[in-house]
Amino acid sequence: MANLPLANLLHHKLRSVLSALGIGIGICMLVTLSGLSRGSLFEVAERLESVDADLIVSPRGWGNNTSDKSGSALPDKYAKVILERHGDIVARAVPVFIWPIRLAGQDHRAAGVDPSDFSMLAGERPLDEGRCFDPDGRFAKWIEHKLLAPAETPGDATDIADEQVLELTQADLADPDHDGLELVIDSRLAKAGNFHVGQKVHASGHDWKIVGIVHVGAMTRIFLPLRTAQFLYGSGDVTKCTMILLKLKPGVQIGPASRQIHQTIGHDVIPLTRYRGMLLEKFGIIFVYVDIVNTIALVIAFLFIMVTLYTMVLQRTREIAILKSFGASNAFILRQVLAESLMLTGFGTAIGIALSFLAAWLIQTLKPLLTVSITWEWLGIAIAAAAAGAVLSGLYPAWRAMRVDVVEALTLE
Amino acid sequence: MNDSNKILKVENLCKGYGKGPARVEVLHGLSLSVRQGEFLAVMGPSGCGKSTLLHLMGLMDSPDSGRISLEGHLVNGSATQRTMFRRRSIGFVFQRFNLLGELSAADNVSISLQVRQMADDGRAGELFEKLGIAHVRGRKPGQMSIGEQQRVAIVRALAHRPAVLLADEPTGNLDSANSEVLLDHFRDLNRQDDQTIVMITHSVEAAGRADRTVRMKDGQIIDCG
Repeated sequence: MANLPLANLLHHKLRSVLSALGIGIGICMLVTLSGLSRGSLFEVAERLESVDADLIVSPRGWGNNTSDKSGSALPDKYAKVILERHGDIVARAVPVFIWPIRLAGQDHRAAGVDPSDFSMLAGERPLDEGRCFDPDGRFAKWIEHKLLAPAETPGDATDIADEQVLELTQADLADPDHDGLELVIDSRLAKAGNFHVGQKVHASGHDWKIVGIVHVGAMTRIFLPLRTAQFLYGSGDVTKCTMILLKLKPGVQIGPASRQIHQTIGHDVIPLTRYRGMLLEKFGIIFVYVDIVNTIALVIAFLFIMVTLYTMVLQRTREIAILKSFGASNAFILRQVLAESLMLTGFGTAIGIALSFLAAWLIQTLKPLLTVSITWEWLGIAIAAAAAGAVLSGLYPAWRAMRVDVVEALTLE
Repeated sequence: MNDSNKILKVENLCKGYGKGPARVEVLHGLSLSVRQGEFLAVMGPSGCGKSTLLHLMGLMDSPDSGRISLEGHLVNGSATQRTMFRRRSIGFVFQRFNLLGELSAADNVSISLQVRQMADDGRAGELFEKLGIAHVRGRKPGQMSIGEQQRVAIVRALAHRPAVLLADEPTGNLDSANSEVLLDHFRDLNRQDDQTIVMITHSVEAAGRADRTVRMKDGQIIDCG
């Protein structure tokens, strides 16, 4: 059976390829930009979800802002208080100090954590290389002795701490006896920055030594000793953290436990499972921008297809008239034009999907810290959008084709 | 002439184009009958309305007034009915062949059957053989001679076994040798297959091969032959 739409496309190869490429670029933008924006955001969510915890304790009223807050916010003694008062339901309470640190040309939310709690934040992932920072807790003990011991004298803790801050230098922190300027980074950051264990890096005003590389997927890309983070980025106050992560005992229900702990400490207690939603509420607007750009790109691509088909109809009025002289119905003409539109779009969509995988590979090769997540869902959306666009952009040219006057078209030969 | 023998009959056809002062009346109450199996030539000077008559007979256009009967059925003005009759009962051969350039000879025939929602019952193959162009089936129009293209156009026009073959100056673009071949084929198809043919021509020689020649002038028939 003769396939006129296919024959037409093959007859005008360059035009067909260019039109398909127009669609391909639109589809590639849709899949890649959606994959990039959602992939990068969801990757952050997945990393936090991988933490072996059930609840996040954050300062009262932070709500969704918990996903992007950092610095001193909560007394880390609350961890002890929670364990003391809710030991029946809480198995572990881990203070975490979050602070942005720039490495490999990008800011990262670094997590300061006690080395004994590192495995919780790493989701029990083993280190690919090296060791954890401050493995025997010497630095923690040293700085606690320096800053917290005098505070045992009631009434003048703050004054004494401030005086000590002024006396401590980077050289004191990095003293080989209790080196506190150590980092563990994840394997993706190591790849992006070409970092290796033992390497010295300068970040956020200090010289650090990379001592370990944890497998990708841990809570953050950079980990450092809790006390170092508190001292350096908490204005010398080593008693406060950004949040406390809680691991509940087996069988304890998250909702009631969350309310119970909230009543005790008066701060927000959020299930870890809400973190993705918090991120979406906070940063989801980016999806709106990306989707608008994608829609515009697709509309332009389909206008291009419509112009191509319209031009084709104008150029081929004689051929259309010939078909009508055989008795071709309007439905037949409509089917021919729409089939051509769908073929062009199908070809373009295939190109676009192939291009989007290529683009994802390129992005992740050149910028390893970015995540492009090409999902079946978005491939389906792209295919559905392309099919709908093909039909819509083919309708007007098809209507013009149906209106071709046989006698006029054949007489004008 | 026995009425039941008339496969195509037009009565009092009037047709004009344009509006107001620019309107031109092309046909003025023209009547004509074509018998089953007849090879009829229509001659006349340019602008006398031959092509308009052929378009009306081929149901590609509708008359302003008058009646057209095809195979004993009155074809009213409904576009759907005209399309249906055109699909089933009419074959058209154009002066410039009007083959679809993107398709091979076989596909040009196939698409016409597809449009007509008819299956190939082998008639196309017979005609390719009969007209001596079996070897061009896979070729596109640009790869065929002019004579071959016109014969493919004939195969396409007859593959669905139409009641009437309408040919608009079929030799107009052919050299004399190819014209002779084409007219021989028309004659054979008419004689051997009882194919009714209405052919518009300027050529006296071509008209001479027909059973009957009708002459037109100023939108009317001046000689019924």
